[in-house]
Amino acid sequence: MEYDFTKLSDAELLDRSAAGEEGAFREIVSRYKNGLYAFLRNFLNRQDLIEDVFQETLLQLFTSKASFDTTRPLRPWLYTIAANKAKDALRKLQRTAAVPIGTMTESEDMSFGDMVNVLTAEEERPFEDLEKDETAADVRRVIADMPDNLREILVFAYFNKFSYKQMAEALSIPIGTVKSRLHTAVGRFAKDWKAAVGSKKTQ
Amino acid sequence: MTLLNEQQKQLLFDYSLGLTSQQETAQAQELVFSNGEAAGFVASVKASLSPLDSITPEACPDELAEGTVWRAMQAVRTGRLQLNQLIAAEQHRKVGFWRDIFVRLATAAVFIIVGSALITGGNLGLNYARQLSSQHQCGAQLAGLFQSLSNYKADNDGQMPALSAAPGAPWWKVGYQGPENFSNTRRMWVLVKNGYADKNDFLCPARKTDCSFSCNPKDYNDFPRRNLITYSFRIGCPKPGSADVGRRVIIADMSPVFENLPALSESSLNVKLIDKLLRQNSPNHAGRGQNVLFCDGSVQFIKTRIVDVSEDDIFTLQGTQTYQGTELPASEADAFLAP
Repeated sequence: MEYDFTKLSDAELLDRSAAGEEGAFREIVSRYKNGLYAFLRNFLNRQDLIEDVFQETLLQLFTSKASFDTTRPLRPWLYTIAANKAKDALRKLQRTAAVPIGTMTESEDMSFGDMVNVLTAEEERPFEDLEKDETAADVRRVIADMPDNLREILVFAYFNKFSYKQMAEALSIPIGTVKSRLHTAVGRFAKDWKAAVGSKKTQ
Repeated sequence: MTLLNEQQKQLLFDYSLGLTSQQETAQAQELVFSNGEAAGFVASVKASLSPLDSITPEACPDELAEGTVWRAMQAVRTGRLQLNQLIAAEQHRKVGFWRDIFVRLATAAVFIIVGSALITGGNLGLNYARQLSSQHQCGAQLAGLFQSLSNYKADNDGQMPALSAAPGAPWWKVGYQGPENFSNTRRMWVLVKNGYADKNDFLCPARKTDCSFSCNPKDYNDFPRRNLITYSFRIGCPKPGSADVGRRVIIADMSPVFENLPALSESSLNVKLIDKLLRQNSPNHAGRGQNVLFCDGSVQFIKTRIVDVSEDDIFTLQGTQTYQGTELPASEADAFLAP
Protein backbone atom coordinates (compact mmCIF):
# COMPACT_ATOMS: atom_id res chain seq x y z
CA MET A 1 0.00 0.00 0.00
CA GLU A 2 1.31 3.47 -0.90
CA TYR A 3 2.09 5.69 2.09
CA ASP A 4 0.14 8.95 2.13
CA PHE A 5 2.84 11.62 2.40
CA THR A 6 0.38 14.46 1.99
CA LYS A 7 -0.49 14.26 5.68
CA LEU A 8 3.09 14.83 6.86
CA SER A 9 4.54 18.19 7.91
CA ASP A 10 7.35 19.78 5.91
CA ALA A 11 9.87 18.90 8.64
CA GLU A 12 8.82 15.24 8.63
CA LEU A 13 9.04 15.15 4.87
CA LEU A 14 12.55 16.60 4.97
CA ASP A 15 13.70 13.92 7.40
CA ARG A 16 12.24 11.16 5.29
CA SER A 17 13.64 12.64 2.08
CA ALA A 18 17.14 12.71 3.49
CA ALA A 19 16.73 9.05 4.39
CA GLY A 20 16.09 8.37 0.71
CA GLU A 21 12.29 8.11 0.69
CA GLU A 22 11.46 9.26 -2.79
CA GLY A 23 7.77 9.73 -2.05
CA ALA A 24 8.57 12.22 0.71
CA PHE A 25 10.80 14.33 -1.50
CA ARG A 26 8.28 14.12 -4.31
CA GLU A 27 5.66 15.56 -1.94
CA ILE A 28 7.93 18.50 -0.99
CA VAL A 29 8.56 19.20 -4.67
CA SER A 30 4.85 18.96 -5.36
CA ARG A 31 4.00 21.44 -2.57
CA TYR A 32 6.48 24.11 -3.58
CA LYS A 33 7.34 23.60 -7.23
CA ASN A 34 4.92 26.09 -8.78
CA GLY A 35 5.57 28.87 -6.27
CA LEU A 36 9.31 28.41 -6.43
CA TYR A 37 9.30 28.26 -10.21
CA ALA A 38 7.23 31.45 -10.47
CA PHE A 39 9.52 33.16 -7.95
CA LEU A 40 12.63 32.26 -9.98
CA ARG A 41 10.92 33.14 -13.24
CA ASN A 42 10.41 36.66 -11.93
CA PHE A 43 13.84 36.83 -10.38
CA LEU A 44 16.00 35.49 -13.18
CA ASN A 45 14.16 35.71 -16.52
CA ARG A 46 16.63 33.22 -18.04
CA GLN A 47 15.32 29.74 -18.62
CA ASP A 48 18.65 27.92 -18.27
CA LEU A 49 19.42 29.61 -14.96
CA ILE A 50 15.89 29.11 -13.64
CA GLU A 51 16.14 25.35 -14.12
CA ASP A 52 19.56 25.17 -12.50
CA VAL A 53 18.66 27.27 -9.51
CA PHE A 54 15.33 25.49 -9.09
CA GLN A 55 17.08 22.13 -8.80
CA GLU A 56 19.93 23.39 -6.65
CA THR A 57 17.52 25.07 -4.24
CA LEU A 58 15.53 21.92 -3.66
CA LEU A 59 18.67 19.80 -3.42
CA GLN A 60 20.04 22.21 -0.84
CA LEU A 61 17.23 21.06 1.44
CA PHE A 62 19.17 17.86 1.98
CA THR A 63 22.42 19.45 2.96
CA SER A 64 21.14 22.28 5.13
CA LYS A 65 18.09 20.75 6.71
CA ALA A 66 19.86 20.78 10.09
CA SER A 67 19.71 24.57 10.03
CA PHE A 68 15.97 24.60 9.35
CA ASP A 69 13.93 25.70 12.34
CA THR A 70 11.04 23.25 12.28
CA THR A 71 8.81 25.61 14.25
CA ARG A 72 8.79 28.03 11.31
CA PRO A 73 7.23 27.69 7.88
CA LEU A 74 9.42 26.24 5.16
CA ARG A 75 8.39 28.62 2.37
CA PRO A 76 10.33 31.78 3.44
CA TRP A 77 13.41 29.68 4.16
CA LEU A 78 13.20 27.96 0.80
CA TYR A 79 12.80 31.26 -1.03
CA THR A 80 15.75 32.73 0.85
CA ILE A 81 17.90 29.85 -0.39
CA ALA A 82 16.50 30.37 -3.89
CA ALA A 83 17.23 34.12 -3.85
CA ASN A 84 20.82 33.55 -2.70
CA LYS A 85 21.42 30.88 -5.29
CA ALA A 86 19.86 33.05 -7.98
CA LYS A 87 22.20 35.91 -7.09
CA ASP A 88 25.19 33.55 -7.11
CA ALA A 89 24.17 32.25 -10.53
CA LEU A 90 23.89 35.77 -11.90
CA ARG A 91 27.30 36.69 -10.48
CA LYS A 92 28.91 33.65 -12.08
CA LEU A 93 27.27 34.45 -15.37
CA GLN A 94 28.37 38.05 -15.10
CA ARG A 95 31.96 36.94 -14.67
CA THR A 96 31.93 34.81 -17.80
CA ALA A 97 29.58 36.78 -20.04
CA ALA A 98 30.93 39.06 -22.71
CA VAL A 99 28.01 41.45 -22.36
CA PRO A 100 26.62 42.77 -19.08
CA ILE A 101 23.66 40.85 -17.70
CA GLY A 102 21.37 42.84 -15.42
CA THR A 103 22.84 45.22 -12.94
CA MET A 104 24.86 43.73 -10.16
CA THR A 105 25.74 46.93 -8.38
CA GLU A 106 23.84 48.29 -5.42
CA SER A 107 21.39 51.03 -6.22
CA GLU A 108 21.11 54.45 -4.66
CA ASP A 109 18.21 54.86 -2.27
CA MET A 110 15.18 56.84 -3.37
CA SER A 111 13.40 58.74 -0.62
CA PHE A 112 9.73 58.09 0.10
CA GLY A 113 8.89 61.56 -1.23
CA ASP A 114 10.81 60.99 -4.47
CA MET A 115 9.09 57.67 -4.94
CA VAL A 116 5.69 59.29 -4.41
CA ASN A 117 6.59 61.96 -6.96
CA VAL A 118 7.48 59.34 -9.54
CA LEU A 119 4.25 57.43 -8.95
CA THR A 120 1.92 60.41 -8.94
CA ALA A 121 3.47 62.37 -11.81
CA GLU A 122 0.79 63.48 -14.28
CA GLU A 123 1.50 61.36 -17.30
CA GLU A 124 -0.63 59.13 -19.39
CA ARG A 125 -0.68 55.55 -18.19
CA PRO A 126 1.24 53.62 -20.81
CA PHE A 127 0.03 50.19 -19.77
CA GLU A 128 -3.25 50.31 -21.66
CA ASP A 129 -1.47 50.91 -24.97
CA LEU A 130 0.19 47.57 -25.13
CA GLU A 131 -0.99 44.04 -25.67
CA LYS A 132 -0.90 41.99 -22.51
CA ASP A 133 1.57 39.36 -23.72
CA GLU A 134 3.88 42.00 -25.02
CA THR A 135 3.55 43.86 -21.75
CA ALA A 136 4.47 40.80 -19.71
CA ALA A 137 7.65 40.26 -21.73
CA ASP A 138 8.59 43.94 -21.44
CA VAL A 139 7.85 43.99 -17.73
CA ARG A 140 10.05 40.94 -17.20
CA ARG A 141 12.83 42.71 -19.06
CA VAL A 142 12.51 45.83 -16.93
CA ILE A 143 12.56 43.74 -13.76
CA ALA A 144 15.55 41.74 -14.99
CA ASP A 145 17.49 44.94 -15.62
CA MET A 146 16.91 46.26 -12.09
CA PRO A 147 19.75 45.96 -9.57
CA ASP A 148 19.73 42.68 -7.64
CA ASN A 149 18.76 44.16 -4.31
CA LEU A 150 15.77 46.03 -5.76
CA ARG A 151 14.58 43.18 -7.92
CA GLU A 152 14.60 40.71 -5.06
CA ILE A 153 12.62 42.96 -2.74
CA LEU A 154 10.04 43.72 -5.43
CA VAL A 155 9.64 40.01 -6.15
CA PHE A 156 9.36 39.16 -2.46
CA ALA A 157 6.86 41.94 -1.72
CA TYR A 158 4.69 42.24 -4.80
CA PHE A 159 4.59 38.74 -6.22
CA ASN A 160 4.98 36.70 -3.06
CA LYS A 161 3.41 38.99 -0.47
CA PHE A 162 6.11 38.47 2.12
CA SER A 163 5.56 40.61 5.23
CA TYR A 164 8.18 43.20 6.18
CA LYS A 165 9.30 40.90 9.00
CA GLN A 166 9.70 37.93 6.66
CA MET A 167 11.63 40.03 4.16
CA ALA A 168 13.90 41.37 6.89
CA GLU A 169 14.66 37.82 8.03
CA ALA A 170 15.12 36.47 4.53
CA LEU A 171 17.49 39.25 3.51
CA SER A 172 19.16 39.69 6.92
CA ILE A 173 18.51 43.42 6.98
CA PRO A 174 16.55 45.65 9.42
CA ILE A 175 12.86 46.32 8.74
CA GLY A 176 13.64 50.02 8.19
CA THR A 177 16.03 49.08 5.38
CA VAL A 178 13.41 46.76 3.89
CA LYS A 179 10.94 49.65 3.77
CA SER A 180 13.31 52.16 2.21
CA ARG A 181 14.56 49.58 -0.28
CA LEU A 182 11.01 48.71 -1.29
CA HIS A 183 10.24 52.40 -1.85
CA THR A 184 13.30 52.62 -4.07
CA ALA A 185 12.35 49.45 -5.93
CA VAL A 186 8.81 50.59 -6.62
CA GLY A 187 9.95 54.05 -7.71
CA ARG A 188 12.66 52.56 -9.89
CA PHE A 189 10.28 50.15 -11.55
CA ALA A 190 7.74 52.90 -12.28
CA LYS A 191 10.46 55.13 -13.72
CA ASP A 192 12.07 52.40 -15.84
CA TRP A 193 8.70 51.19 -17.09
CA LYS A 194 7.74 54.64 -18.24
CA ALA A 195 11.09 55.00 -19.97
CA ALA A 196 10.76 51.58 -21.64
CA VAL A 197 7.29 52.35 -22.98
CA GLY A 198 8.35 55.83 -24.01
CA SER A 199 11.28 54.53 -26.04
CA LYS A 200 9.01 51.94 -27.67
CA LYS A 201 6.62 54.63 -28.80
CA THR A 202 9.37 56.67 -30.42
CA GLN A 203 10.63 53.67 -32.44
CA MET B 1 -9.95 67.27 3.27
CA THR B 2 -6.67 67.17 5.20
CA LEU B 3 -3.20 66.66 3.70
CA LEU B 4 -1.74 63.22 4.27
CA ASN B 5 1.18 62.82 6.67
CA GLU B 6 4.12 60.45 6.08
CA GLN B 7 2.69 57.76 8.32
CA GLN B 8 -0.59 57.74 6.43
CA LYS B 9 1.23 57.62 3.10
CA GLN B 10 3.26 54.64 4.30
CA LEU B 11 0.05 52.91 5.38
CA LEU B 12 -1.55 53.58 1.99
CA PHE B 13 1.58 52.42 0.18
CA ASP B 14 1.56 49.15 2.11
CA TYR B 15 -2.17 48.79 1.45
CA SER B 16 -1.65 49.29 -2.29
CA LEU B 17 0.92 46.48 -2.32
CA GLY B 18 -1.21 44.16 -0.16
CA LEU B 19 1.25 44.22 2.71
CA THR B 20 -1.10 45.38 5.46
CA SER B 21 -2.55 43.36 8.33
CA GLN B 22 -6.30 43.05 8.72
CA GLN B 23 -6.40 45.97 11.14
CA GLU B 24 -4.20 48.16 8.94
CA THR B 25 -6.31 47.30 5.91
CA ALA B 26 -9.41 48.55 7.71
CA GLN B 27 -7.59 51.79 8.65
CA ALA B 28 -6.42 52.30 5.09
CA GLN B 29 -9.88 51.72 3.63
CA GLU B 30 -11.41 54.18 6.07
CA LEU B 31 -8.83 56.76 5.03
CA VAL B 32 -9.48 56.15 1.33
CA PHE B 33 -13.25 56.61 1.79
CA SER B 34 -12.88 59.76 3.84
CA ASN B 35 -10.03 61.51 2.06
CA GLY B 36 -9.82 62.26 -1.67
CA GLU B 37 -6.07 62.67 -1.59
CA ALA B 38 -5.73 59.22 -0.02
CA ALA B 39 -7.92 57.71 -2.73
CA GLY B 40 -5.83 59.45 -5.41
CA PHE B 41 -2.60 58.26 -3.82
CA VAL B 42 -3.72 54.63 -3.74
CA ALA B 43 -4.96 54.86 -7.34
CA SER B 44 -1.59 56.25 -8.47
CA VAL B 45 0.44 53.55 -6.73
CA LYS B 46 -1.81 50.79 -8.06
CA ALA B 47 -1.76 52.19 -11.59
CA SER B 48 2.02 52.48 -11.56
CA LEU B 49 2.38 48.89 -10.47
CA SER B 50 -0.41 47.53 -12.66
CA PRO B 51 2.00 46.44 -15.43
CA LEU B 52 3.32 43.88 -12.93
CA ASP B 53 -0.10 42.23 -13.00
CA SER B 54 0.44 41.34 -16.64
CA ILE B 55 2.80 38.64 -15.42
CA THR B 56 0.77 35.55 -14.73
CA PRO B 57 2.47 32.80 -12.72
CA GLU B 58 3.68 29.92 -14.86
CA ALA B 59 3.41 26.37 -13.60
CA CYS B 60 6.62 24.43 -13.11
CA PRO B 61 7.24 22.07 -16.08
CA ASP B 62 6.69 18.45 -15.08
CA GLU B 63 10.03 17.34 -16.51
CA LEU B 64 11.87 19.85 -14.34
CA ALA B 65 10.14 18.58 -11.20
CA GLU B 66 10.82 14.97 -12.24
CA GLY B 67 14.45 15.76 -12.99
CA THR B 68 14.83 17.33 -9.56
CA VAL B 69 13.42 14.29 -7.79
CA TRP B 70 15.71 12.07 -9.83
CA ARG B 71 18.78 14.14 -8.99
CA ALA B 72 17.95 14.22 -5.31
CA MET B 73 17.54 10.50 -5.12
CA GLN B 74 20.75 10.01 -7.04
CA ALA B 75 22.54 12.22 -4.52
CA VAL B 76 21.24 10.08 -1.67
CA ARG B 77 22.27 6.91 -3.47
CA THR B 78 25.71 8.29 -4.27
CA GLY B 79 26.16 9.11 -0.58
CA ARG B 80 25.29 5.57 0.26
CA LEU B 81 27.72 4.32 -2.35
CA GLN B 82 30.59 5.93 -0.52
CA LEU B 83 29.72 3.89 2.56
CA ASN B 84 29.55 0.80 0.40
CA GLN B 85 33.07 1.33 -0.93
CA LEU B 86 34.58 -0.52 2.03
CA ILE B 87 32.42 -3.50 1.24
CA ALA B 88 33.34 -3.24 -2.42
CA ALA B 89 37.02 -3.20 -1.49
CA GLU B 90 36.58 -6.37 0.54
CA GLN B 91 34.82 -8.12 -2.26
CA HIS B 92 37.41 -7.07 -4.89
CA ARG B 93 34.64 -6.53 -7.32
CA LYS B 94 36.02 -5.42 -10.65
CA VAL B 95 33.60 -4.55 -13.36
CA GLY B 96 30.11 -3.58 -13.68
CA PHE B 97 27.71 -4.24 -10.81
CA TRP B 98 27.23 -0.66 -9.63
CA ARG B 99 27.59 0.62 -13.14
CA ASP B 100 24.75 -1.72 -14.12
CA ILE B 101 22.63 -0.26 -11.34
CA PHE B 102 23.42 3.27 -12.47
CA VAL B 103 22.65 2.46 -16.08
CA ARG B 104 19.37 0.80 -15.08
CA LEU B 105 18.40 3.80 -12.97
CA ALA B 106 19.33 6.17 -15.76
CA THR B 107 17.33 4.11 -18.24
CA ALA B 108 14.32 4.07 -15.91
CA ALA B 109 14.62 7.85 -15.59
CA VAL B 110 14.75 8.17 -19.36
CA PHE B 111 11.48 6.24 -19.67
CA ILE B 112 9.79 8.30 -16.96
CA ILE B 113 10.93 11.61 -18.39
CA VAL B 114 10.28 10.77 -22.03
CA GLY B 115 6.94 9.21 -21.07
CA SER B 116 5.79 12.32 -19.25
CA ALA B 117 6.95 14.48 -22.14
CA LEU B 118 4.95 12.38 -24.60
CA ILE B 119 1.85 12.65 -22.46
CA THR B 120 2.09 16.42 -22.21
CA GLY B 121 3.05 16.58 -25.89
CA GLY B 122 5.11 19.25 -27.57
CA ASN B 123 8.47 19.15 -29.21
CA LEU B 124 10.05 21.53 -26.76
CA GLY B 125 9.24 19.23 -23.85
CA LEU B 126 10.56 16.26 -25.76
CA ASN B 127 13.80 17.96 -26.68
CA TYR B 128 14.25 19.06 -23.12
CA ALA B 129 13.56 15.52 -21.91
CA ARG B 130 16.12 14.16 -24.38
CA GLN B 131 18.76 16.58 -23.19
CA LEU B 132 17.93 15.89 -19.59
CA SER B 133 18.03 12.14 -20.02
CA SER B 134 21.38 12.17 -21.81
CA GLN B 135 22.64 14.51 -19.12
CA HIS B 136 21.53 12.01 -16.46
CA GLN B 137 22.96 9.04 -18.33
CA CYS B 138 26.26 10.85 -18.64
CA GLY B 139 26.19 11.68 -14.90
CA ALA B 140 25.44 8.05 -14.10
CA GLN B 141 28.33 6.98 -16.32
CA LEU B 142 30.73 9.28 -14.48
CA ALA B 143 29.48 7.91 -11.16
CA GLY B 144 30.21 4.46 -12.57
CA LEU B 145 33.75 5.54 -13.45
CA PHE B 146 34.20 6.71 -9.87
CA GLN B 147 33.26 3.22 -8.77
CA SER B 148 35.79 1.76 -11.23
CA LEU B 149 38.48 4.04 -9.81
CA SER B 150 37.51 3.06 -6.26
CA ASN B 151 37.71 -0.62 -7.13
CA TYR B 152 41.12 -0.14 -8.72
CA LYS B 153 42.29 1.77 -5.67
CA ALA B 154 41.04 -0.95 -3.33
CA ASP B 155 42.99 -3.56 -5.28
CA ASN B 156 46.19 -1.52 -5.47
CA ASP B 157 47.00 -0.51 -1.91
CA GLY B 158 44.99 2.69 -2.14
CA GLN B 159 46.84 3.98 -5.20
CA MET B 160 45.01 5.57 -8.10
CA PRO B 161 46.11 4.56 -11.63
CA ALA B 162 49.30 6.52 -12.27
CA LEU B 163 52.04 6.52 -14.88
CA SER B 164 55.29 8.39 -14.70
CA ALA B 165 56.07 10.94 -17.37
CA ALA B 166 59.40 12.63 -18.09
CA PRO B 167 59.65 16.33 -17.18
CA GLY B 168 58.33 18.42 -20.05
CA ALA B 169 56.61 15.44 -21.69
CA PRO B 170 53.39 16.26 -23.55
CA TRP B 171 50.01 15.26 -22.15
CA TRP B 172 47.93 15.79 -25.27
CA LYS B 173 48.94 12.90 -27.58
CA VAL B 174 45.80 10.81 -27.19
CA GLY B 175 46.20 7.60 -29.18
CA TYR B 176 50.01 7.49 -29.11
CA GLN B 177 50.96 3.83 -28.50
CA GLY B 178 54.73 4.11 -28.03
CA PRO B 179 56.46 3.31 -24.74
CA GLU B 180 56.58 6.94 -23.54
CA ASN B 181 53.69 8.35 -21.58
CA PHE B 182 52.60 11.25 -23.75
CA SER B 183 48.93 11.36 -22.89
CA ASN B 184 47.02 11.95 -19.68
CA THR B 185 44.32 9.56 -20.91
CA ARG B 186 46.69 6.64 -20.44
CA ARG B 187 45.91 6.51 -16.75
CA MET B 188 42.29 5.85 -17.64
CA TRP B 189 43.28 3.25 -20.19
CA VAL B 190 44.84 1.35 -17.28
CA LEU B 191 41.28 0.83 -16.02
CA VAL B 192 40.20 -0.56 -19.38
CA LYS B 193 43.29 -2.69 -19.81
CA ASN B 194 42.83 -4.30 -16.42
CA GLY B 195 39.10 -4.89 -16.65
CA TYR B 196 37.90 -2.23 -14.22
CA ALA B 197 36.04 -0.29 -16.90
CA ASP B 198 34.84 -0.74 -20.44
CA LYS B 199 36.22 1.54 -23.16
CA ASN B 200 32.68 2.63 -23.99
CA ASP B 201 32.34 4.05 -20.49
CA PHE B 202 34.54 6.92 -21.69
CA LEU B 203 32.11 8.00 -24.37
CA CYS B 204 29.55 10.55 -23.22
CA PRO B 205 26.07 9.19 -24.11
CA ALA B 206 25.06 12.64 -25.37
CA ARG B 207 27.47 12.41 -28.31
CA LYS B 208 28.28 8.73 -28.62
CA THR B 209 29.03 8.35 -32.31
CA ASP B 210 31.45 5.53 -32.94
CA CYS B 211 31.24 2.61 -30.54
CA SER B 212 31.98 -0.05 -33.12
CA PHE B 213 35.75 -0.11 -32.70
CA SER B 214 36.67 -3.53 -31.41
CA CYS B 215 40.08 -4.27 -29.99
CA ASN B 216 41.84 -6.22 -27.34
CA PRO B 217 42.72 -3.60 -24.71
CA LYS B 218 45.85 -5.53 -23.78
CA ASP B 219 47.27 -4.73 -27.22
CA TYR B 220 47.14 -0.98 -26.63
CA ASN B 221 48.83 1.45 -24.28
CA ASP B 222 46.28 4.22 -24.69
CA PHE B 223 42.85 4.73 -26.19
CA PRO B 224 43.26 3.65 -29.82
CA ARG B 225 41.84 6.87 -31.24
CA ARG B 226 41.02 10.35 -30.07
CA ASN B 227 37.33 9.98 -30.90
CA LEU B 228 37.03 7.02 -28.52
CA ILE B 229 37.24 9.29 -25.51
CA THR B 230 34.93 12.23 -24.86
CA TYR B 231 35.81 13.08 -21.28
CA SER B 232 38.65 15.18 -19.91
CA PHE B 233 40.78 14.31 -16.90
CA ARG B 234 42.53 16.21 -14.21
CA ILE B 235 46.22 16.91 -14.71
CA GLY B 236 47.74 17.01 -11.27
CA CYS B 237 50.14 19.51 -9.84
CA PRO B 238 53.73 18.17 -9.85
CA LYS B 239 54.15 19.39 -6.26
CA PRO B 240 50.94 18.44 -4.45
CA GLY B 241 50.35 20.41 -1.29
CA SER B 242 48.28 19.57 1.72
CA ALA B 243 46.22 22.76 1.67
CA ASP B 244 42.45 22.39 1.69
CA VAL B 245 41.35 23.23 -1.82
CA GLY B 246 37.75 22.09 -1.49
CA ARG B 247 36.24 19.36 -3.62
CA ARG B 248 38.70 18.31 -6.30
CA VAL B 249 37.40 17.73 -9.79
CA ILE B 250 38.52 14.42 -11.28
CA ILE B 251 36.73 14.03 -14.61
CA ALA B 252 34.41 16.21 -16.68
CA ASP B 253 32.80 16.25 -20.08
CA MET B 254 35.28 16.96 -22.86
CA SER B 255 37.11 20.28 -22.67
CA PRO B 256 36.15 22.65 -25.48
CA VAL B 257 39.71 24.00 -25.41
CA PHE B 258 41.29 20.74 -26.55
CA GLU B 259 38.46 19.29 -28.58
CA ASN B 260 40.44 19.45 -31.83
CA LEU B 261 43.93 18.09 -31.35
CA PRO B 262 46.63 18.08 -34.03
CA ALA B 263 47.94 14.89 -35.63
CA LEU B 264 50.22 12.76 -33.47
CA SER B 265 53.09 13.48 -35.83
CA GLU B 266 53.07 17.12 -34.75
CA SER B 267 55.69 17.99 -32.20
CA SER B 268 53.56 20.29 -30.14
CA LEU B 269 50.13 21.64 -29.58
CA ASN B 270 49.47 25.31 -30.13
CA VAL B 271 46.24 26.56 -28.61
CA LYS B 272 45.75 30.23 -27.88
CA LEU B 273 42.85 31.16 -25.64
CA ILE B 274 40.57 33.36 -27.64
CA ASP B 275 37.40 34.73 -26.07
CA LYS B 276 35.26 31.91 -27.48
CA LEU B 277 37.50 29.21 -25.99
CA LEU B 278 37.32 30.94 -22.64
CA ARG B 279 33.55 30.93 -22.52
CA GLN B 280 32.40 27.80 -24.34
CA ASN B 281 31.04 24.85 -22.43
CA SER B 282 31.85 21.25 -23.29
CA PRO B 283 30.72 20.20 -26.77
CA ASN B 284 29.21 17.02 -25.29
CA HIS B 285 25.90 18.59 -24.26
CA ALA B 286 25.52 21.08 -27.09
CA GLY B 287 27.19 23.79 -25.05
CA ARG B 288 24.57 23.68 -22.29
CA GLY B 289 27.08 22.77 -19.60
CA GLN B 290 29.11 19.82 -18.40
CA ASN B 291 28.89 16.96 -15.93
CA VAL B 292 31.70 17.07 -13.41
CA LEU B 293 32.83 14.21 -11.18
CA PHE B 294 34.30 15.29 -7.85
CA CYS B 295 36.68 13.34 -5.66
CA ASP B 296 33.90 12.62 -3.14
CA GLY B 297 32.07 10.65 -5.82
CA SER B 298 29.39 13.27 -6.43
CA VAL B 299 28.48 14.32 -9.96
CA GLN B 300 27.16 17.76 -10.79
CA PHE B 301 25.98 19.27 -14.04
CA ILE B 302 27.32 22.82 -14.12
CA LYS B 303 26.35 25.41 -16.69
CA THR B 304 29.51 27.43 -16.42
CA ARG B 305 33.09 26.20 -16.30
CA ILE B 306 33.54 27.51 -12.80
CA VAL B 307 33.56 25.01 -9.93
CA ASP B 308 31.63 26.01 -6.85
CA VAL B 309 34.17 26.31 -4.06
CA SER B 310 37.37 27.52 -5.65
CA GLU B 311 35.60 29.43 -8.46
CA ASP B 312 38.25 28.18 -10.82
CA ASP B 313 37.83 27.53 -14.56
CA ILE B 314 38.29 23.76 -14.85
CA PHE B 315 39.39 23.86 -18.49
CA THR B 316 42.21 26.36 -18.24
CA LEU B 317 45.31 26.97 -16.17
CA GLN B 318 45.41 30.15 -14.16
CA GLY B 319 47.38 32.83 -16.00
CA THR B 320 48.15 30.71 -19.08
CA GLN B 321 46.96 31.99 -22.43
CA THR B 322 48.84 29.70 -24.83
CA TYR B 323 49.14 25.93 -24.56
CA GLN B 324 51.77 23.70 -26.08
CA GLY B 325 50.53 20.62 -24.30
CA THR B 326 53.18 20.36 -21.61
CA GLU B 327 51.97 22.96 -19.11
CA LEU B 328 51.13 21.86 -15.58
CA PRO B 329 49.18 23.54 -12.78
CA ALA B 330 51.27 25.52 -10.32
CA SER B 331 49.13 24.48 -7.38
CA GLU B 332 46.48 21.97 -6.39
CA ALA B 333 43.96 24.79 -6.18
CA ASP B 334 44.16 25.22 -9.96
CA ALA B 335 41.94 22.47 -11.35
CA PHE B 336 42.90 21.70 -14.93
CA LEU B 337 41.22 19.09 -17.08
CA ALA B 338 42.56 18.07 -20.46
CA PRO B 339 42.71 17.12 -23.28
